[in-house]
Amino acid sequence: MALQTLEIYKSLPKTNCRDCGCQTCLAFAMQLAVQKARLGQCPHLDEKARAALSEESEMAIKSVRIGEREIGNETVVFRHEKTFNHESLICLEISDSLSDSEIGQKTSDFLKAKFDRVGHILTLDMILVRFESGDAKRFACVVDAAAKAVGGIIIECNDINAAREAAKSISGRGAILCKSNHAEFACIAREHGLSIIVGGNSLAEIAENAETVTKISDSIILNVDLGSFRDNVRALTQIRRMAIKQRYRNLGFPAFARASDTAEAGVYLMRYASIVTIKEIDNSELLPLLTLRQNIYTDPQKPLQVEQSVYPIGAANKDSPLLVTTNFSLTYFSVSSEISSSKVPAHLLVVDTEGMSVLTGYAADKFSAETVTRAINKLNAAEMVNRKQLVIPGLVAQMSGALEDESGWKVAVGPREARELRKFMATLK
Amino acid sequence: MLPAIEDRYMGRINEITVGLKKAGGEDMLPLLGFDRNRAPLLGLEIQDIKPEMPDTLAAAYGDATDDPVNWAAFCEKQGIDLLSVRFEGANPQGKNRTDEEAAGILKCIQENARVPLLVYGTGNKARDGLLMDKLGRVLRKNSIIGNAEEEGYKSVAAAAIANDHYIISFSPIDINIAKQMNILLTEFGIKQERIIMDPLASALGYGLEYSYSIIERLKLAALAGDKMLSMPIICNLTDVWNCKESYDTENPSWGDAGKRGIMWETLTAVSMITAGADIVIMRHPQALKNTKKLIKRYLQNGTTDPGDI
Repeated sequence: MALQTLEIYKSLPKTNCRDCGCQTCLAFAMQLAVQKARLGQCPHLDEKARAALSEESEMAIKSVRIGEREIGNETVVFRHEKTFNHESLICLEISDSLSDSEIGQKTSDFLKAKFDRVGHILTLDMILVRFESGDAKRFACVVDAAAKAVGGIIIECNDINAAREAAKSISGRGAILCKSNHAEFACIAREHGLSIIVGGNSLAEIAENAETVTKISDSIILNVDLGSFRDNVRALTQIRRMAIKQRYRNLGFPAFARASDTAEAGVYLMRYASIVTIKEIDNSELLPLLTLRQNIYTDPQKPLQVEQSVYPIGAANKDSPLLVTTNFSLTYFSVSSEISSSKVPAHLLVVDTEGMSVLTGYAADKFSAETVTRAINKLNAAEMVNRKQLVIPGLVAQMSGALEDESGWKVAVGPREARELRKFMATLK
Repeated sequence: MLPAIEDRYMGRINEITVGLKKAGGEDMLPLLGFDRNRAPLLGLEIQDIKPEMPDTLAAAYGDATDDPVNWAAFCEKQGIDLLSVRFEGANPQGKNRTDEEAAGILKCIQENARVPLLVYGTGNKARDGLLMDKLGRVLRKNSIIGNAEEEGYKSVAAAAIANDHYIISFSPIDINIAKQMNILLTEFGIKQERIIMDPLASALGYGLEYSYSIIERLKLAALAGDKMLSMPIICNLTDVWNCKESYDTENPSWGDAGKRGIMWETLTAVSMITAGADIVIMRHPQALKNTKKLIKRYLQNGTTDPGDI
């Protein structure tokens, strides 16, 4: 919500001290109104003024945009309190001292790490390039190549010139990570519309450095790299709790953590890191990791759903059996997985029950003789099989009579548990 | 100056003894890095028969699974804190072993076991009444028996009381049923300190987040002072190797099936522990080792109980 110049001016000190870089407070207010200046430029605002002026400051953990993605703006310590708002971004680390072909291989593997789960595409999100070659031009070149592959890049660099060069290729869609001189690097970051990742040797130091940088940048990320897995997990938890429970401003920013292996990455993404880096691409470990992220970041109040449709499992043909279930993604996944394991090809007709499971859907009348019949007709299931026979879940056996009457199909009752499907499917042959 | 961040809770999780080690007893949330953390206990599970297993899991055991006593011995070498034994063989719909046969096998396993045992029946309520009684008598005192569920818990509970064992109070991802089970058990005569809760661990990708949040809520309730929920939590990863992702070889983009299955189980275990599980029963020895390594790495910076690792 944009505030008018005069509204803003009311909350400023009105001393015309010029510390913000403008000639007068009114001039500063005008700049703020059109977002040409930042609130942090005025070092004399008290909490009240800050609160009155900035919608952003209402966020316990500031939100940060990196290209198309948003992180931060988290409001709870436990997902069951409401939900986690933004998925952790997973970031691959590479060194600019790698050869061109190695870099090509890494970016190619990065792009291939794509999986389809519950109708959602799971992917990696960012690449971090470390300046290790000592050659600023090489660094800029590698960063540029990485930037062509992915929408978000972090440059890790302790050399001002190298950072400045490389920042040009990633304007508006990345971050700079440095070990010290945060203020200097923050300026470069700001110039190029990048976030600044601020660290320290202890939580107190990180908070101090963040505070220093707020005067320069409003896109800050905290680097939680305290020397051990334990200290990092502890710090990540404390940051989340202090920001939300105590509204402690200097740690109210999204956090960044580096994982040494996939299991550690899993813990970091469960424990509040908004960006987690990994060192290698191995699809056998990434599929589980991305699935974990999908699970933890699912809104507890909005279960994932699958589209109403007839899904072929295996080489299903017109003689294959037809089974019916609900569109709760977990139900769909469990059932289709078990049918698939049985090696008996089948059609799985998924009824839209608004994401409810079999029993819940039945209790709420979303999974009934009427709704199943409607789905059968809408999906033209009769065209897909030679015999009008279907199997319903054992948990709703009582529906079989009514469903036969309503649909005109013959109804058989399947097992109560998805895992019993494997044996059951063999009997359908 | 950072604001004070120490946590003080009113409640505490009950502490139980599992062989030479302890589980539970914490007075704060897991993975907070304060010095009172204790390593969760890890175990593997065997059955008295050779069960069907996907290749990716079977590969870890070779022919050890041909005989339960050999299988138990194999597991002991994997660095476990306890061993779970499930008597699926006594199922009337399967091998239909007699109580005596089952007891004989258990005796043999126990004689050779250096770790404490956790024993499950068949899951068939009618069968388990007598079975658990028999097995309960064979077991050394302070072993663990499971599961006590809403229907048919009395005979399992009786076996626990008569033979001085811990009992697993099972609930299907429902905090109200969890509490109700504990009330039923304590009213039946089980002491609160002898109960271990199993809120049903769902596998990664197949409901993990439900188990994760229930466990966090159970821990918070206990730490807030709810004595009827202050029992340590056990997670048995029964379903992980039923997940397609733990064994499927038909998707080249999914990478190596063996490694994938191991990571599928590792991340499931690690999530349960992050949420607050005190004991995790796993299946693949490598997944167990990975989990143990991570726990050790976490506790590295000073622990009051270095012997726990």
